[in-house]
Amino acid sequence: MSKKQVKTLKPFLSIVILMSFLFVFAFIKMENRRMGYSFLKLAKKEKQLRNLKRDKRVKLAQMMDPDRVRVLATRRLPMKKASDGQIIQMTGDGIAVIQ
Amino acid sequence: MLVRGAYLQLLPNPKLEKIKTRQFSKIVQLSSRRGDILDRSGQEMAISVTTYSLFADPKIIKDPYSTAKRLSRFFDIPFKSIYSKIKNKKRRFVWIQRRLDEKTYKKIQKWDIRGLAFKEEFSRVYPHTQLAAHTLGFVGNEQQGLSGLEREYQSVLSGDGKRIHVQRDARGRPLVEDGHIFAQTPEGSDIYLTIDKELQFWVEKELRQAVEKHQAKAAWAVVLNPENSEILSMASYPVFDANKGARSKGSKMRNKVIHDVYEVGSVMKAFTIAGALKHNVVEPNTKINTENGVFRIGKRKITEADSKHNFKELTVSEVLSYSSNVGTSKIALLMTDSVLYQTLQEFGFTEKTGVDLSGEGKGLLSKPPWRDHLTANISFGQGVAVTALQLANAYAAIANGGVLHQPYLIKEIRDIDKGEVIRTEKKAIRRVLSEGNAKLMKMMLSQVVAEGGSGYTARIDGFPVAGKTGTAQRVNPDGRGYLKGAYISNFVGFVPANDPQYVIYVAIDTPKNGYYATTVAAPVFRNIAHFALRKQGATPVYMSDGNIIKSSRETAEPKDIAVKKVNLNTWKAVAEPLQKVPSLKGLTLSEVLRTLHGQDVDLHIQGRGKVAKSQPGAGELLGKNRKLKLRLSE
Repeated sequence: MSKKQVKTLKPFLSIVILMSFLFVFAFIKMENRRMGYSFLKLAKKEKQLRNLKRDKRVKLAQMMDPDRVRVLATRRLPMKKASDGQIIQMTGDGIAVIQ
Repeated sequence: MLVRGAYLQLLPNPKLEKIKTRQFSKIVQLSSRRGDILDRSGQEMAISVTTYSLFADPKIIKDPYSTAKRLSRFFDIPFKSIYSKIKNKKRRFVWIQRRLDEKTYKKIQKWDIRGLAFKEEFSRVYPHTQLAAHTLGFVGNEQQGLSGLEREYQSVLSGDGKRIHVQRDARGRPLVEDGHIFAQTPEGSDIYLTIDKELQFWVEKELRQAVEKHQAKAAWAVVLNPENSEILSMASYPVFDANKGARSKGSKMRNKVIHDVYEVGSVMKAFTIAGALKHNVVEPNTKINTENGVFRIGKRKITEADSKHNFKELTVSEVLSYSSNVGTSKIALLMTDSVLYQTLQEFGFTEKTGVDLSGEGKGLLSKPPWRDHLTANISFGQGVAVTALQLANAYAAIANGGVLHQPYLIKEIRDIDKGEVIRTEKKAIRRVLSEGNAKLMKMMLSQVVAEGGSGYTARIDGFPVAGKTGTAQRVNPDGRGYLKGAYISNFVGFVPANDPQYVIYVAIDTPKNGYYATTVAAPVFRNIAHFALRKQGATPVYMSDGNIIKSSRETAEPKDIAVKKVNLNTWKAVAEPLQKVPSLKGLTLSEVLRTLHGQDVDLHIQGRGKVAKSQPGAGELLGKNRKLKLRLSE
């Protein structure tokens, strides 16, 4: 390409570069916004899941309530409170000690 | 136009800046979530969850009548109360219903009624309702702590809210590059307690049973770790539901362990004797003339609580184990009033313990000089009033070898946002006894629980127990003297006496079927101590005929201990050993387990539902391997 041709193309190239730059700039800006919205959406979802986790923690704690466990153990299962002498500790010397 | 555009865009213009800020900025207020309260092993005791509060903007509700009708039907509340709130078009904000769960929130959202909206709020939940309610306290409508730890640690639990300045778009949505600022709710610090949830439950259960059994007015108890005075359990009965908080009766909300100051009776004798040992006034085997149970001081008479205790002479150790009022009075008079006062002061009876709860009583004890009869009375726990926590803490000092510590409830505080953990260190207040004297006191207190001692009902198989009974008359709140027939039956002690792990104090207020601590409070102490040791997995240390079983496989008898010959296998199968298979057809699995409970049977189960077939069949003999196969079908 001759120097003259390059010279005639220069303004055109400048405009193309400027336009491309503006286009890329606008695109990045838009993309940034779009990502911001989806991030916000995901953040809300995360918050929702955190809340759900807390609700589950409460439910688990309620289910593990000692009184509830006691009632279930004695009424639904054939279990009863350990009576005196029922628990035996093995001392390892061939001796069992009633607790 | 270009010049004007450049002028507006590039040159600073405060007026335009202000308009822009107003139009495109938004301040988002993020309220903080209250920190959780957890027990020593991290199990939830109080937790905050997100709820949704429904409000209305009456100005923009198109049809207040039908909206009120729908809401009234949905919430089952009178139509009038809702309609009166939303019919006034001049109002812009009225609460309809607060703290709804997510399901309800979603249902109402689907109605899509203009003018109804939600605000996220936190709600405090106490999953175990009544458990440790007096210690935890509760919060008010605006999540402010109103009592207990919730109030004491309000600033720690509540945390700081956040105000975030963000840009918004034309539709008012925040333009954020970091959406996390909305997801990360600022949180208050979490508090880990020294309380053991399981032990707390057991203590509360025992107190409830004791109140029911003895038709008592109330009961309270505290369990401490003697090494550092951390509070493992603190309970009062009657209880209240922390979720209902302020709607509960005031009398039920009283934490009697720290708020109530009362005369405790003979449990104070231990401190009189400890003081006498410390100041070399007596030794454990010093003989005291106990005047056949009646001791005259001027016009007044000091008698023994039990009329059968008309001893002529007792050693100091026996004075404690028989709980002799006369003996203790004489020791106190030998000590002088100022030394007794100093001893009680050193054990912490004239000051608050400093536990991390407000409203603590500091005890009532007048300064000497005292008349002789008052010195005598104070020596066995009359004319001196203390809190349950003060008393348990003073016993903890004897149990740990003589050092008084500050009791505490908070194990650690965790700030999740900052990643900080603040742990509570044990805080020694002062040495109140030498190690030698503390050891002597432990031995003497063990004698109280030995056969013939006043606290023998507190004994536990396998563990030496040290403690002291006390049956105090209730002071008349409306005048002088004591209430007739009203007693506070209490017991305080520690287990195992040789290496104390738990200091336990129990008080039963105005029991009706018997009032002596031996029959009322000591058995409760025993049950609590037994559970605590079992839970801890402590190895029994006390060996006697009663609590030793020898294996049948052992041929040689140990020479140094007495052995009761019981085949270990008999413990494996408590019931008559099963030879033939019983008829199990049609039984559920739990019924099968109940039938075979205690039997040495190797059970194999297939399927679900009820027993359809067994192998060996019903009536057939069990094999040598004692295998029983059950096929279940629904």
